[in-house]
Amino acid sequence: MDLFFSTIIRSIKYGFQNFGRNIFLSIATTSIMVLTLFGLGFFMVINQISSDALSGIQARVDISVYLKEGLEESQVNDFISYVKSIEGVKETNLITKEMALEKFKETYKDNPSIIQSLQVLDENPFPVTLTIKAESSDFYQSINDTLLASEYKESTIQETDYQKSTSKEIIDRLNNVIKVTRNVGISVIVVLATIAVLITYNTIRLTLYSYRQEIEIMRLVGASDSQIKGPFFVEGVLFGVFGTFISFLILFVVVLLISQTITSFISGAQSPSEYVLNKSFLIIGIQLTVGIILGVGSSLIAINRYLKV
Amino acid sequence: MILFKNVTKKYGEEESFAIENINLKIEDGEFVVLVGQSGAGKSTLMRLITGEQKTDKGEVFLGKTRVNDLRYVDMPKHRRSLGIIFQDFKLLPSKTAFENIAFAMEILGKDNLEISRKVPRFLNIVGMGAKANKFPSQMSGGERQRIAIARALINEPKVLLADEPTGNLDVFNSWDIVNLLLKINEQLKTTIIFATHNKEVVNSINKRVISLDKGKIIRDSLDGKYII
Repeated sequence: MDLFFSTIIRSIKYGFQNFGRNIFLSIATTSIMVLTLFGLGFFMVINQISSDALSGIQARVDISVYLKEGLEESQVNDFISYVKSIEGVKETNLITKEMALEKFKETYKDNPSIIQSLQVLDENPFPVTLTIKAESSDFYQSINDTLLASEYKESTIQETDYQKSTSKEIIDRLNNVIKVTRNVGISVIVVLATIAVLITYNTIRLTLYSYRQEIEIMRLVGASDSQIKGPFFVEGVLFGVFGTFISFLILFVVVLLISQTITSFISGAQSPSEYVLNKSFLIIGIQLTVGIILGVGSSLIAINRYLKV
Repeated sequence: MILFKNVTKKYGEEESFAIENINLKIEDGEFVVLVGQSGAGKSTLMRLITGEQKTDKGEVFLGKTRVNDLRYVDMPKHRRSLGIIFQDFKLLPSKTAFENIAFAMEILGKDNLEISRKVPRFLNIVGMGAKANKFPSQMSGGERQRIAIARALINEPKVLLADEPTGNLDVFNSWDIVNLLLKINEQLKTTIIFATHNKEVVNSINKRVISLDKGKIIRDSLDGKYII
């Protein structure tokens, strides 16, 4: 047990020593690790901002189905039941003629000429409207198509306003932007991670080379596999740990600088700096996990390739 | 006790044997000299004891341990029961004499108290007590080899393998090292296997001499004569 603990302590001590022995190489390796982990963190923030923006727009989007005049209450209820059975429908809201009129009056209460023009009419001109919200923006098109292909198209529906809406275009465009951003983000992270692995691998290889005499002597006097390999394993961990903390600090500063600009552009989006602060444990956790996997993974490849104990 | 039973070893596709059908028994506490030309099989014989090489045929025993059977994970423990010194000393240039010896204890998890108590004792055994803080570059070849011997002995192995330890030394220093090995054998009762080319030394120390030629033992005698 003593040997076990002394091996761990020795591995940590010599891991730090290895890190310091080739300090410029270690700085270069940590830098690429920082870049990779910063990319990962920034990607998480961008993903959150775009999701917030999309949710904000989605919350305001619906399909309004204007119903024909003179329908019986049972016919309307029957139609509502049908709509609720369509895949992707999240909720429906029925707006009666009276509610529509009241809403109109409330909206234009400061514009008496419009209110007056309404009084000229003998009857309430607003149709009964059923607003439909979908589970996600992907469903709006199919819900609209289903409605227009149903038997209710002739008997109940006067018109749907989804096709006319510009929201669909905005959602589609935003969805495309999110998809492209996500793909570009993932590609950049994969490229950076690959570079990080190659550089860490090379650093460990050079450290192994500079320690070749010590390794030979350790082997001669009967040091175990873990005693010889431990410090290089720790060195890989250190690249991941230092990379994580430095990249999180940089991420926080960058996000703080762009936060105000982002929130003024995208209404409904959570402030990025607030997001980073609230989710700091999650972001650091993910960065640390990825950093350690990259660092240790590269170390293990180099150790197994170049350290024949 | 070290025992070789019908041991044969060949490297790769080479036609000749590095070691051919060797039978050998070395008792605990013995001082054995291995002589022979370069390529006679002296180093291979030692590597078969350390487990660095495996036999093609036959068995090698160190005490009750059958070296052939040792798995990769058992090798460190096996090597701890051996001390090894080489012609080129293999000291770490960035460490002092004390640190070089302590290094062998550190990596086996010995605590600082034990290290600070034991290293000076072994420095004195090899006659280097006054040079504990010198770096290898500040020492003569003979002094470096003494430090290498102290390092090999610090974990108190039962067997010391000395592979041409005087090969890089002048006559005076060679005698110095040989006398030190004799003293260690006598005082610590460490089994010593000493491979050398030095005829004068062999003929003077009057110990068991095993002569090797082309991988075979051609002579095994207690008369202390260097004859090939």
